[in-house]
Amino acid sequence: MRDVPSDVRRRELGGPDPIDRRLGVPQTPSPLTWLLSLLRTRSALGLAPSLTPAVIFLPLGLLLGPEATGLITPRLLERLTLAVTIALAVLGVMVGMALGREIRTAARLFLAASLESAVTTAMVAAAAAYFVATTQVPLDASLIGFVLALGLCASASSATSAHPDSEPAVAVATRVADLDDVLPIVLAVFVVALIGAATRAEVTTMLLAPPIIGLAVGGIGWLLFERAESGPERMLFVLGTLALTGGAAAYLHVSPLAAGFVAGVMWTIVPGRVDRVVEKDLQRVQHPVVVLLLVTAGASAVFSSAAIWLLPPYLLFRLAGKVSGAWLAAPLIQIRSSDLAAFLMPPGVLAVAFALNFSQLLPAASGQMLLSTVAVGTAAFELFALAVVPHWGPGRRE
Amino acid sequence: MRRVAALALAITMTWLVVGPLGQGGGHSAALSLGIALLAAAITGWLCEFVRLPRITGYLAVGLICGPSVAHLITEAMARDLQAASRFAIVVIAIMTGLHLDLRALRPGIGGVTRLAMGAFACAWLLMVAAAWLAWPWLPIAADLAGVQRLVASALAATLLVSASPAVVVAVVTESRARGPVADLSVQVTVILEIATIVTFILLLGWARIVFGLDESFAANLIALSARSLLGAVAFGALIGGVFALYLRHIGREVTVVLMAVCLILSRLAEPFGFESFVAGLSAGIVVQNVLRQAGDVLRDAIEYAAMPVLVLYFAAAGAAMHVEPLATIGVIALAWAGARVVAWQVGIAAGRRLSGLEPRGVPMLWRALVPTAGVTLGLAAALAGEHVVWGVRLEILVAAVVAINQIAGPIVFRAGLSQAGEIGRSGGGLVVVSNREPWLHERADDGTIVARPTPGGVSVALDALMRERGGVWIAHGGGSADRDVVDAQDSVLVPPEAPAYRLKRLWLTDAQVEGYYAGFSNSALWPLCHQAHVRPVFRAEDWDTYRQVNTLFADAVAQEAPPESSVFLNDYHLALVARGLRRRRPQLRTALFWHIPWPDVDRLRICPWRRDILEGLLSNDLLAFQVRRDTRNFLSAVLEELGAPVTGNTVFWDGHATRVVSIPIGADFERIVTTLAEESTPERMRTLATDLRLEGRIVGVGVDRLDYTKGIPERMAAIGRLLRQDPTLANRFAFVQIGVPSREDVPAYAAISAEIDALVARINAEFGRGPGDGPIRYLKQTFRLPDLVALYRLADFCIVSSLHDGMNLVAKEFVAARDDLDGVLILSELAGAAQELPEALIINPYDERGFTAAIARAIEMPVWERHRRMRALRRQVAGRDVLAWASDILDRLERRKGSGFLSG
Repeated sequence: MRDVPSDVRRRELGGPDPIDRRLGVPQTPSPLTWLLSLLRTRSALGLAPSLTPAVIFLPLGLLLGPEATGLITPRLLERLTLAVTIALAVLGVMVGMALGREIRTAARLFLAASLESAVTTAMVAAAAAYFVATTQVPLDASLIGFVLALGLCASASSATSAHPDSEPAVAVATRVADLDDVLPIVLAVFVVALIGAATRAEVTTMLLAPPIIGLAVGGIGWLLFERAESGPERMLFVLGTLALTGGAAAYLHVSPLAAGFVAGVMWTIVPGRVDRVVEKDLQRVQHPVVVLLLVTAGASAVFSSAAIWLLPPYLLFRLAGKVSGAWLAAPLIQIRSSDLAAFLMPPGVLAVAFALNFSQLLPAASGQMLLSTVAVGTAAFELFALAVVPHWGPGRRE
Repeated sequence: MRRVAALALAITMTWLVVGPLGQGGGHSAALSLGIALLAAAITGWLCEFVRLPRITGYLAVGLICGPSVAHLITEAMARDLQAASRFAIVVIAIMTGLHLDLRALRPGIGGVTRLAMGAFACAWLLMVAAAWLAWPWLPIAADLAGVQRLVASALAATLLVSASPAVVVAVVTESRARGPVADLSVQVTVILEIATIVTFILLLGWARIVFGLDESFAANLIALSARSLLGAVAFGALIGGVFALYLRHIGREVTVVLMAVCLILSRLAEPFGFESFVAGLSAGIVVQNVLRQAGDVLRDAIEYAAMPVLVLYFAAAGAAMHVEPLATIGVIALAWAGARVVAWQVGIAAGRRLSGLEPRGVPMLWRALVPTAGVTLGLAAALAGEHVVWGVRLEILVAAVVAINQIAGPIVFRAGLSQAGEIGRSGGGLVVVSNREPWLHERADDGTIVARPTPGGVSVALDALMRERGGVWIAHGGGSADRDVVDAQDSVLVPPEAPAYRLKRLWLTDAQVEGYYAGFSNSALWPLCHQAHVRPVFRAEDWDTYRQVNTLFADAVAQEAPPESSVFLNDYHLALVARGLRRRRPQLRTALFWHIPWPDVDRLRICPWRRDILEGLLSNDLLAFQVRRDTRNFLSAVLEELGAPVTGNTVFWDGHATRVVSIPIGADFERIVTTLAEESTPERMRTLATDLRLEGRIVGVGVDRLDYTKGIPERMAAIGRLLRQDPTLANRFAFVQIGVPSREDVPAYAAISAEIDALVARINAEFGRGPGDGPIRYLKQTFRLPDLVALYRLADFCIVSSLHDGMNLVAKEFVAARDDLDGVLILSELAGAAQELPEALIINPYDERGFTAAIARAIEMPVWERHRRMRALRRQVAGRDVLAWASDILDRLERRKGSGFLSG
């Protein structure tokens, strides 16, 4: 029996854009196509790795944003909240579906991934708490929420720098990267409640809202997706359901990621092929979602002195957290800890998604500080991974 | 029911979120978008049950859920929806522009422009006169007199006559209407949109002078006109040009860039004072006319995603609808809405005289001018901003008229399209062309004539489609009494019990049948396309006959096909028909479904007439294969042999574009399930089990035509090896092989039949009591569907071991018959079906050991695994049956050509 194709199993679904696939390669020779083909050739020869989206679109967002050229105005940025909310729900669904597929067959993998992300979260959060404490600012609920949020952002990883089928270690690391976002998403529900709730009733609402929303939209999707009369109608149902997921969560000031995550898990469990349907339609929107998130994050970044002050410890302790986490988790899944640590180094889109999510919920100043730190940190780690990962692996080390 | 349950769940959730839980809620845009999309889509679907357009459902949801009524969509959410709907307008505009092939439009655009401008001038003058006369009684500014009253009346008339191309495009797209009314409606409303804006700007400038607001009349007027219209056109053209360059030279991440283009046009056009619909239209036109190939691909991609855009646009319009003024000035608004309809009817009559256009589509045109939309409100708001007293009152009246037109417009226009027969039709009926006819007339022994339907899923599916849509089916008449029942045009109405379409019979001589069917089709093309190691026989005289018969079919289609009809060519016997048709009836849409595999380039090269065949196939608008493997092979062949440009899956050759797709055929699932439910099925199973001595045995089944591509000798060899490995199996095992005699006049078929006979005899002699009495039950006969279904249900496993096969429907029929979720399908990876049914036990028929092991595994497979696999297989087969296949092909064909409004 054939298994799910590897490019579909990954959280960030991958594969070319559907319209690109239909248009094919441009046939008209031009300086630009020549340049692109040169880049491809260099990539194939191992001389230059292909660039990941975060490296391109975070700086692009920064360049277009209010802090630089101002082409993306604050008003437009406000309008982009709509797309960001839906994008967060989409990413939550992807993580949920990855968990739903793996959990029955790869419990150890899940355990290892959770252990690795817990260690990274704890190290970064503890370090951030220490640095905040040195400034004599009292650690109240909001600040505790802030440092925990920073830790959760740091724990995300994507393993997108190498093709999952290129060697066994990468394949395992890719699956770990798919699953190590589960714990942060679950913990984020509590952090969001810590930040946003003032009364016990609000705490209850904020803790229960994501799973309830997820289950409700999961039910709506299950009722609708497989019975759509046509592809366009199915696409409409999928988009509507995802917008409802993100929108309901955002309206209640809870995490769209968590609500989407619950829906994603549900779609892999319920009878039928709902998860396949969602996956197929998400492939049409995955590229715009990633680009929107990254450009918005880049445009929203504000380089305050506090954000710059926070950046070095963030980079240092995330690195330390990933190495320690990988060291603890690797024995569980029969992989070299150095390989695991190297492949989990790029934070991917999800780190930025976490940061955007928290920045919407935290007070404006600390939200911007968190987002700016994580955005720059993500770009830095992606570049670091581009330099390190292609030269990593048993074959290349020997 | 599921949709209604989903709608109830979505509304309850939103109510809880917005109401009890969400006091002081956060960002509302995504929530409003989500509930609007889901609720509107499901309500629109419900509207179809009462014969209302879906769009009315979308509007109703926006209105009912919106701030005017139920407050489920709050004021803030409605504003957010409005912002999103500006994006939708641009998408609709670009889609419209991508349909505008200026070369195709050029011959007729002068007449259409004269019609539109004549109608506009006449309707506008009538409305100005009506407004001027009725002014003292209108709740606007009764004291205005003289030139001021004239200018105000003219402005009111301009706002009231304005139409909405966005709504018209949306109704045409949503209802999938095709034909002159749809085309003309879009063309005219686009021209009217521009005329309305120009007139409004001129009048607004004049009003400034008359009401003493601005002295520099001329300068302002020119600046306003230039900025609003020319600026929008230039801005759109610039963005479109840059986008075309991007597509031409980079062509990567096109979805992202397309969204960015829409965002730029929707966000930047209005702050600069540009009209975003015009800007989007202009961008679409530039892309389509600079890069036609990429434009086609983009248009299809946008149309695929158009549904959410249309739903959003109308739900937003509903949510923003101002129904409050209707309570106070409803009667006056209703009177103006009625006057507007009359003015347009008169205007169109005048325009028709002026343009000299034929009445085709014109009498229905007024219906397209009933809908109005946001741009009217935008213009009214601009007027209110300048003339705070009477302008605001006029805005209220206009809002009330727009509300009436928004509700009534889509209903009236869709009814017009329906009345013109343009909804859900190709415009001219359907023509099916096949070698075999769907109904045979045979003379029985007692001399009576009996009509028999041709068995087979494809024939049944196309017959069902023809019953629904009507039209002509052209086929070779091969029945013994076929000539006795036809009329003077060699036609007969079928089905006999309820005639629904015409069967046109073509008479071929024995020599033609020999050369075209047995010769080129089955001795050359069949072995060429199937890699089963049988050498194709290419005889020049067979090729000549094949061409001659294809020409006969093309002549018959050219003679019979109504204008603008869709022609479905069935299978490899008809590869050259479209080429003949293209010369004689270029307006016809043709699709050919190639049921068998397409060979790789090296194998194709052995055919001396490959280029003629390729060119013949490229004369179709749509060419469909079973699986992507065949599509890929065909596109490679086109590149290698013809050097034709290929963009995605569209081939451009000889000034014509052909879309090459894979549309896998399905089994007739419903018919098999119905047969299973018949009371006689259990009895039939018992009879078969007794007759074939199957009780208490492990039963395998194979059903095939006696064809060298089916891998029957390999199957027998695998069974023989299994029995040798486990001799105890022989007494408790039976394999029923149905062999349907086929093409016995072709030598290769006679040879394979003899080989199978010998193999069966040898196995039966080795493991049974003699050549005719052993574990293999070999029946060389045709089985009727009820018997076949019963046999499938008796089997523990079914073997499909094709050496090469386009699809193989036996695999899918076996799955369809197993509603007990039992039974194992052993399927060759060289059959197209394997690409759709990965949960079968996949084998390679050339792998002796693997094949034998798969049969052993099927026999030993635990119940839970059989059920799990069969459940997955059934889900796949049920979701894609033969009717869906036939509809899918026609659907794609009719979207392909002539479907576009403004297609010229």
